[in-house]
Amino acid sequence: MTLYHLNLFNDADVWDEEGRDFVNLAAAEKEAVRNARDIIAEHIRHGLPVDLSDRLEIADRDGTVLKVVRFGECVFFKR
Amino acid sequence: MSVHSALDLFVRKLCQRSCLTEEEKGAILALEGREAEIPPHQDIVRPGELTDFSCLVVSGMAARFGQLPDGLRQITAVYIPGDMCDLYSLMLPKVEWALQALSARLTIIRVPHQQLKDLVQAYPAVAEAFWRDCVADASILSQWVVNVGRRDARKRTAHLFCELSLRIEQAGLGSRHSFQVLAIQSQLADALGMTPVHMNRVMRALRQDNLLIVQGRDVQVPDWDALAAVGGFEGGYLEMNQSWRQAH
Repeated sequence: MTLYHLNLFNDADVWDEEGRDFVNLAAAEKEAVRNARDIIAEHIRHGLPVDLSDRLEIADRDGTVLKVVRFGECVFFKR
Repeated sequence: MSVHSALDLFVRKLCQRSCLTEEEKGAILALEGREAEIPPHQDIVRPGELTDFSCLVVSGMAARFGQLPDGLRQITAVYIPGDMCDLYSLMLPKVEWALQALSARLTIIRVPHQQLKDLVQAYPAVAEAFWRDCVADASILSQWVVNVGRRDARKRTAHLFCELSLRIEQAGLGSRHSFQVLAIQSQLADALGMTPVHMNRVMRALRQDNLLIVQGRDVQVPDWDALAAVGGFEGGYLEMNQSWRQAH
């Protein structure tokens, strides 16, 4: 297991100080997508705008950013 | 905290809802069990396990949770020192949910069911007090369902912290304005039906509004009434209508 931090950059920047253990980076990325969708869903419930350029950054214990997950990559719309 | 102190807390909690004589209290304090240190993330009781004991929290925090096949889980109860986590197991010794250590350090006493059965057969008032404790547990669960199902993230978080603060205060383990929650944020998120990042975001917003300040395990609530207003929190379900009790 490896410790990753999922830091949020949207209308508020929120640093994940505790971090969590994941089996690998792919698992952390999957969790980042789930977390982003949760925040997007709350915005939609409240009728707030969703900025698709907002992002979650996955960093290792040294703070090195290993992966960026943008909100726009986490939701799909049909017209 | 010692085993005896935990039993003291348990009696104190029971007496907040039930009238017990000194003899009845003494009989509860005379319970004996096996003390166990539970490592973090380790089950105290596994899903489907047949138990012949109930678990009294001595120090730390424990949780009851259900888990889905994909690993996602929902915490359905949080237990603090003085709580007998699974008093219901006396009637239902095999359940499909689990009890687990929430804090890095958890000490419990496993009290044999036989001792509890002997106790309630000898003292009907203790049986009634245990029954009321189980009703209180169900009452809290009922509030949690409403919280997770119908309140938004901010209200939900405020409600949980108000509840924990009152329970900790009633147990004499802190005040509603200053207390410790021995859980990491991802665990609290599991109790709130939220993702951890979302919860961190909500906590930050509550902090900015000077409603809830969490530093590590230490929690400060500068204006408890304001936090309760945000969460729509009304603590009557924890007190269980004392006026009715006194009249009967």
